[in-house]
Amino acid sequence: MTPEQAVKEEFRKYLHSKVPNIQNKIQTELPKIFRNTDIYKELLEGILNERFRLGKTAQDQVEQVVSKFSQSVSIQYKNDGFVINIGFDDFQDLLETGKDLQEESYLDKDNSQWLESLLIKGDTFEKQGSTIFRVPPEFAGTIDNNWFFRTISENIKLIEDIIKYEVGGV
Amino acid sequence: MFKGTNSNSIYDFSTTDIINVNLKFWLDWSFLNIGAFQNISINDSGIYGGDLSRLIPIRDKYYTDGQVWKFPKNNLVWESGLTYQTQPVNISGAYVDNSFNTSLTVDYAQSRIIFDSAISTTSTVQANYSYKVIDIKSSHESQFFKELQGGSLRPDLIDYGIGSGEYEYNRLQLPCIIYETVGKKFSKGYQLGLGHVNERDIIFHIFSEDYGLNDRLSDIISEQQDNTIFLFDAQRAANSGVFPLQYNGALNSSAKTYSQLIQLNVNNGYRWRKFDLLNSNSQKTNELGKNIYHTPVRFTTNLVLTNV
Repeated sequence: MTPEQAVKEEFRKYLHSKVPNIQNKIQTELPKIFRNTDIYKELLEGILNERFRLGKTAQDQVEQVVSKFSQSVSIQYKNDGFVINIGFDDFQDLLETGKDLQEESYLDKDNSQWLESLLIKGDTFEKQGSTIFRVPPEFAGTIDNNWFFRTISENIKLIEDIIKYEVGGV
Repeated sequence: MFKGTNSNSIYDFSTTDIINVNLKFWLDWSFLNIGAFQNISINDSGIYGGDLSRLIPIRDKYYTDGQVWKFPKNNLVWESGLTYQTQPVNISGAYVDNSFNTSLTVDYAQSRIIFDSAISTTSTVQANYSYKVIDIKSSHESQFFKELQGGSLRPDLIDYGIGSGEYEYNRLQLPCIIYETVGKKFSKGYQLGLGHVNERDIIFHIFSEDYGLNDRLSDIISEQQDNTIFLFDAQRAANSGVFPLQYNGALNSSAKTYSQLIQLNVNNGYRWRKFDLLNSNSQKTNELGKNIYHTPVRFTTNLVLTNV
């Protein structure tokens, strides 16, 4: 091994060793980021709360979903770079969480799929009993462009800053 | 003082107004040029019978009974000079009990004829005309969409006109495309100090009574990804009196089509700015009830506003 390769190897080991801290920090910071989004606020006491008929149980439900999502985010050091992985490929696990929470809260069964409506139904109208409903377009999401992905991509700079801080660069 | 492109008067067209007007003109013109219109000749019947050339008398408090007659279809074509192989019919008059009458005004906005003087309401009134097969409206103009959005529309009670002989006054005419500007808009810098890019999402909602037709229309719309269209300055066009329809719905003698309006100033056009259609996302088709299918197609759009 040449001295140059040896330094490179040491550096790689160093960055690898930082992964748990970076991941931990990001998982801790993400819920705070989500709490600052319009959707979070609307779910707690705005139009989304009203449309999904979440009522006063909203905070518990939304916090659990946000926490589960945040915990699913993992970091890898691969090919000389950090990679952010989101643990839910098709959101099925997360959507199941939403349904379980709804059942626990004994809310309107018509709306047991509020998370699904928010995250993957996009701009479609859905029949709900005798009326038609849709998620307001400014909040609607599809499987590859929804509240979670948008929040991550809008805050990528903050995630970069965490990584830089942890590796000791800035 | 305010900055911005359209702030000479609060009554002027805003940027959103201009986008809304242009989308209607662009979609109407583009669909007409691929043959999305139907020419109706005297005594033409529809699939379910009836006479598509026959008008019915309607009441209007501003006119005497017998003056106002409604076409069986909405969205009369006023445009001419299409690149399509057939051309729409120019409405030059109407037959009243088989006698041709030109003492009338065609109200294109409300798809009706207003005779200069009342005729008997038992007369048979017929006309050659063309109508746009696809009804295109902004979400603000569509009563149906407002009710749908407000959650007050019952899917089992949606009323829409199908077949011939059905008079679609105040009813939903299918297929239709309702475009909606999403409330949230973002601005970001454009070439240091030279203006900004106005980014907003626009959703095209396709409604029809045929699943396959929804697929076809959503393909056409979503394939506009990465298309850049020109917008015309609706305010300047309105001030110059070249908007197609007058206050009473009659065709303006100086009316210009979309393709004429977007020409450069030197070619007597009213070209304003470029408008980019990006990130098309055609979503799942849902049945809303009573055979009405809905497919949303969402775009991110960019409008570069310079010198503001």
